[in-house]
Amino acid sequence: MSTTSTNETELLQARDAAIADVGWGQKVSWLQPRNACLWVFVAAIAYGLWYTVSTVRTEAPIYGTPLGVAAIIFSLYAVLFWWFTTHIDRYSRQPLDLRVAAFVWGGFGATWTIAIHGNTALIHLYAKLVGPDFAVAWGAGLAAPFVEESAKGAGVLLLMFIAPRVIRTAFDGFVIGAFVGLGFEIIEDILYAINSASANFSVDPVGSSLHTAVLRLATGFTSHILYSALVGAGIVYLVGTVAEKRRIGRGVVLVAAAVALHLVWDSTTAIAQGNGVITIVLLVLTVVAALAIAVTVFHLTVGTEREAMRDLMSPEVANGTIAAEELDALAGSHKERRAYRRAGRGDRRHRRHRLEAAHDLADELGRSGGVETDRVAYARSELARHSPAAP
Amino acid sequence: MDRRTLLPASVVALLVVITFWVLPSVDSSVAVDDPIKAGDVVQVGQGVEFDPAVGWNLESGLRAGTATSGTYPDSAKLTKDGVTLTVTTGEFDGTATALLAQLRRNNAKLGPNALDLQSGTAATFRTAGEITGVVARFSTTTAEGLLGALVSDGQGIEVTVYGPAAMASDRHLENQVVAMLESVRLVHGDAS
Repeated sequence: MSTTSTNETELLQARDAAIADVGWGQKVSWLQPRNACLWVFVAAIAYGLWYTVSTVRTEAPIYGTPLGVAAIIFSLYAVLFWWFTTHIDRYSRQPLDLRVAAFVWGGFGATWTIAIHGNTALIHLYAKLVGPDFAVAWGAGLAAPFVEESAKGAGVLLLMFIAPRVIRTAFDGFVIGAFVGLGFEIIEDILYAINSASANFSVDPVGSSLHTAVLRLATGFTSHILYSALVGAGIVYLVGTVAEKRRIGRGVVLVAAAVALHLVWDSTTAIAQGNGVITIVLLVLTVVAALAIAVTVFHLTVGTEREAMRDLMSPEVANGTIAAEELDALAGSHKERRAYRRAGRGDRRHRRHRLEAAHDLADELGRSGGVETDRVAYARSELARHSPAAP
Repeated sequence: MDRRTLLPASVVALLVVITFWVLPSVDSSVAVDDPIKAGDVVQVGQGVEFDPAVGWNLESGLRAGTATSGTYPDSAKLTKDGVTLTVTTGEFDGTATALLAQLRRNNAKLGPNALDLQSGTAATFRTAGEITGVVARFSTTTAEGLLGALVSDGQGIEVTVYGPAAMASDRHLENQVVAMLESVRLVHGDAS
């Protein structure tokens, strides 16, 4: 009896520690007048929004239709990748307002306040100091990776100090970085589509924009979203948190990997010296390498979150709320969850709902700090409602 | 202020200062110094080239045979004594007159920033490379210039020249502009 009590006490202590470490269920306070990071964050976005409005007011009378078409296409694209990025954040999920803040920084702060000015000036300087040919061939590759990854990473850094109780693990940085990259990608794609509207003397601005849009849609999934996810995880390692000890080497490698992938992507024609076949091979290799690195970093960073999920929900196994195999699925990978659902054969629907309900219970326990509240009790009752024995 | 937030806020503020003010200021302070020498040829896009006048400054664009990436920008800009000459290329399915009309329509969409291009009477000319073009002069209270449109084999070429109001009275400059306009030709064979 005393051994059982000791085990329960240890499990509950482990739960409390997990909640405290990863900041499970914590909310972001946007009223922090003494937080310097929040002021910089707001100021940069405010300028970016003003710049956007000014640009739209200038461009809309000339390229209103392609602007509208590009905005609709890339909004749908944003919804798709928003869903995907939310879907991979399946353990201690980032709150909606933080994801929106990351997206807005990427779309307006990083783009218009930092990247466009830095990129333009650097490419001009390459042309003036090294030569116009060098700038045409290497300008984008030697400007954008450094300026843009810094701009996007700056958002993750600021958000770490605006929401220090929420962004605790490298995986949090990975997810927040992906949302920053998504915002950057969408606004940059719209800009590219508008810029291409003037191609071929603006005879067919919508067609020119659509052509660019299709190219960007086809390649976008391995560019800014992925690079920023790597940078986001790298910044959490570089800074260190309660849950993620500082690992400068790992942080530098992740940021450098994002910059290197971005550099190669932007310089393929220069590296291939205009050879079309080599350019295509390089593009394909870069996409494969980027995906491989992203999957590796996902598995590298997600461990802390899975351990936290296990610590958070282990007392629920002990008290019989969930089964051990459900805990394994809950704290496991996509394959383990799928195996759990399939093992149910005719009971897959129940099993899927059980996992969702168990995740909701984990979130409620995180929010309450492990305290039994009405919401926790309700989440438990929902779990019971989806038990295999239930009708 | 919360002291823990000062360092990261300062790092990002420094990044903004460098990219927003420092780099553009350095860029503005460094002038383009790329004068055209005898025998230089400027290539625009993959299919058009022209002979720039000696002494003009190549502000943007590439000389033929210098693109290691194999890609030439669709536009080139040259300047001299306050006069700017820009050559832009793209696909165009129509006549030179139709292209000039298209350029005028594009200009009209600029609203208050539009040039008064309607006043100039278009004149037809033929380049040394047997490309037919039309050119129209325009003027404002502070500037004057010309807008040229050429089309050959589905390739449209726009030439814009503008400068101070007294530009046309400088015969030497005027001759250089005309020579550049008449030297516009298509690149045959390998465009590199």
